[in-house]
Amino acid sequence: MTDGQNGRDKRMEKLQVMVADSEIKAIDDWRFENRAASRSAAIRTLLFLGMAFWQNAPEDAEALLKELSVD
Amino acid sequence: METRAELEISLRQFCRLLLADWLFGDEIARVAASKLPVEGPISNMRVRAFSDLLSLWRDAHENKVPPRPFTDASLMKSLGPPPPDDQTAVLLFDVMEFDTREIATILSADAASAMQMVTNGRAQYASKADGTIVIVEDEPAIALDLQMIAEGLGANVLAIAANAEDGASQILKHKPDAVLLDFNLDGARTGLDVFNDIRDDHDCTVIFVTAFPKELLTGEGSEPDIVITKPYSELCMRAVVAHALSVPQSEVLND
Repeated sequence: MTDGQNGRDKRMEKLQVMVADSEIKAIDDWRFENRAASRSAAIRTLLFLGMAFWQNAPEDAEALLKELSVD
Repeated sequence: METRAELEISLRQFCRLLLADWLFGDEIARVAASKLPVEGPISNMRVRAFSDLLSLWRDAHENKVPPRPFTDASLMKSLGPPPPDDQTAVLLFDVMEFDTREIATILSADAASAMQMVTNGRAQYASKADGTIVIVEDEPAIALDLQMIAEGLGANVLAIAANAEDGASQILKHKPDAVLLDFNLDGARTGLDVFNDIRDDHDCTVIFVTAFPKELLTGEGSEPDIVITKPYSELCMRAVVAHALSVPQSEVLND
């Protein structure tokens, strides 16, 4: 939520996410390969990339989403 | 007739209970809810939804092929196996109020076996609560009753508080494994205020007792781990406390 004056968010939240050990390793591997400053920075960057992919290639993103859910 | 929203709330309540954790519970409930039919009537779906939930979880756990990271299959596999059927049967019967015929369907057993599972499960839980607990309850007789239930199960009751201020103080002082919180407390502040006061400072299993459970099972962010509807039976509270203190707690990434 922004204050409408300068676009600044009114507050920040700590976001809790379930992540398995192997997934933490995948995040950390990505972090080191891409020289992200922290695990949090790596996750924010991956979210940025995911959102951009979803906006720029919605059909490809939709196809990939099918792999996300269990059968 | 049960609506989709009510069924999702029910799944959320059960999943949080099974995992003694709101975040893990809500995630697995979300996966189970995604399997509900998109269109058509939802009435009489409750048994099937609970059965499908446990099947999905079991299948994910037993699948030998490593799941792709960050998929729902990966999420479910990382939880380990579902609780043993005997304990699941107790939670379905004493807390979620399914009958034995329904439990038999959910657990793929016959009705006689389902009742035997409930009996076995209660016996397994009888002295299983190896942990510490703080009780926040304003009615002295109920607080004493809860203390006796918890201690009878093997738990160590570290403190009993009657109001929100003392409750939060005792929880942060003793750092118990679990907290038993009643919504109504002495004074203007409620059990929900206690929950909000302590949740960032002490990570433990929060068992919340309320006459309005739906309000705390929205799935929209941080909520109590286990929500019990008032009035509750002694068998319900025994199952909840024993289960809550026997579930290994997982770590949560806070970045």
